[in-house]
Amino acid sequence: MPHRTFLFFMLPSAMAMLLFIFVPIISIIYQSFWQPLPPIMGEVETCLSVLLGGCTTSIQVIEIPKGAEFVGFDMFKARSLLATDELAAAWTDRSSLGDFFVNRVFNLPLYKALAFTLFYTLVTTPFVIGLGLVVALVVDNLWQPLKGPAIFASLLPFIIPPLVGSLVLFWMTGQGGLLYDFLNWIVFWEDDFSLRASAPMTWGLLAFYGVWHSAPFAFVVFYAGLQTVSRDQLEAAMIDGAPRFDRLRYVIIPHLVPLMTFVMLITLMDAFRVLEPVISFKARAHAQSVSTLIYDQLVTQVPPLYGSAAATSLLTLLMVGVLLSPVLVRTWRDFRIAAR
Amino acid sequence: MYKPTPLLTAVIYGFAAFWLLLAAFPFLLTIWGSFKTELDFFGTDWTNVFTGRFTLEREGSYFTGIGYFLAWIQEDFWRAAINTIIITFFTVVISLTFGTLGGYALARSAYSYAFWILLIALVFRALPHIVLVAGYKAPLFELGIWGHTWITVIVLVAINQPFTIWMMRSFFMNIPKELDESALIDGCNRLKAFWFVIMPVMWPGVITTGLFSFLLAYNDFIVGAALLSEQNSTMIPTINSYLGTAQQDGIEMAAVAAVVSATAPLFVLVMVFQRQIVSGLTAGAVKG
Repeated sequence: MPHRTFLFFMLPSAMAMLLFIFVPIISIIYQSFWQPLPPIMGEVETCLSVLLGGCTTSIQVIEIPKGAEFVGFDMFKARSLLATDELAAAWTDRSSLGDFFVNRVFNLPLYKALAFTLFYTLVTTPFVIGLGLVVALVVDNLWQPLKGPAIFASLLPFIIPPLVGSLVLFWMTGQGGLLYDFLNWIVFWEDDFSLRASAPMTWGLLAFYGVWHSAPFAFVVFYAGLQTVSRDQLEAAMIDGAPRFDRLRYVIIPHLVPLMTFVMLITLMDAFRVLEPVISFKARAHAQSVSTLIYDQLVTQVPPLYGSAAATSLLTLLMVGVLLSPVLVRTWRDFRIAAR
Repeated sequence: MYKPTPLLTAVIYGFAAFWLLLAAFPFLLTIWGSFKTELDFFGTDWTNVFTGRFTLEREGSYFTGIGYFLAWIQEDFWRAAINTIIITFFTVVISLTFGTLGGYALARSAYSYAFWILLIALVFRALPHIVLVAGYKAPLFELGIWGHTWITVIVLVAINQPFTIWMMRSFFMNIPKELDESALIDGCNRLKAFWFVIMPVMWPGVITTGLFSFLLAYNDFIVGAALLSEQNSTMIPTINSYLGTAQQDGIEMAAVAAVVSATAPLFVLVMVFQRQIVSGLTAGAVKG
């Protein structure tokens, strides 16, 4: 395709991405180094009628100046972000390495959020792939008329908005809720076994939600993949006397491997941006993700902390880059080989 | 042809039953519970949700529409529903138009810049949405265009583009090049070849990609919560705002009713299109 035609077809999409993805990235870089000037305060005299007490003076915002001041890396060094000073202090008076990490580092907001986000991402992804694969194999082997309804029900947790899906689960975990009672029935040796009370339980519940929400996506991709497994190969394997498990191991799984890479990539990306369940589960006290950290600085705080939000976003961007780098390098290498 | 042993059949059906219960039961419970009063649904004994003890005591019947009344009449949830419809409709239409054109160009170009665009799109796809929102919010405020519906539409379209062009590209890759080449030889220009020859065989791909675009726009929470004001807020941020003020009497049931109201269209959508999702993925994304 000639360059001109390519440009013609690509332009709308490229412009959308340039203006609303690339420019915002430039915007967060700018915002994290330049802090808006603080509002100018001053004495303001308000006069009411004499009956209501006459004139009073109060300190108010008189003017919000335009422009911004270059603050360098100050925003990044703050306690709410990299907390370099706090880290240095903690390192000098540490009692042990474990104490340094557990009691000091993971009490700092960004590191705490990072710990949870990585936990969530790395724990849910393998379970999503595993469960998705098992469900796909099971549904594929159901009696034909049952397949349609089974696919429908299996897709539900994935198509429902994450905020709503997590709420629906959350409502079952309250005291007197179905899930609460069920778990207390299993963990009979504890008096009041609550999913909401402690950090480990909250983390577990969030990870459970993550698997429940994303496994259907893995399922539907694998299920679609199973429909394209070569019948001839399977028959050949049967004639050669390969038992069921070997057919799965040597014919079906290898066919699905490229899809597993695809699902893994998407799940990693989506898990890393986890936000809604932390909000729905009201879990901020025990679990804060990188996304909720930015969300709080940007939406919950009044007035919003644009500078910190931008700086945190920039760090997140770098982390995504690091997480993605193996994939990018591999894609590039494949492309180079294909181009040769 | 591949007849499983009875034991394996039992394992398969047992697991299927377990998984389907896990996947669907929470929703069934919520739909059922949305017709009860707060004391039954959020009470200290979950059996009340099924027996409807307090609903019978308070309202005189086993089912009540009080939650729906609170949500739709008192809290004006219909306003949020209309906003969602507008935003979702325009996001899907614009995303698909841009994405189809872009995906076609990427599938048919042999130059290396096409590869770089795809690679950059992959990085964009990985960015948490809140990172982008952090980039918009302050400048939009400064420009005085914060809170407009159409800004949200454009933002959602942009966020959606990376996935859309990747997916459309893989569908176009499956359509033989010879098809457009023969059209070009017959005297069509690119646009005509694209519209009259390629598009007619592309509809399954458009529908599958469209469904994913729909889900992204409809299910969005972050962009709506950060960029829309209260008047033109969509359904999901509105549901979240009910939770913030849950102390108000009975409003929790409004949240439950709103949740059911917001998910019902999705149920219908998947019921209608589930065949397309699977066959679309089989034909396109899965091979690419």
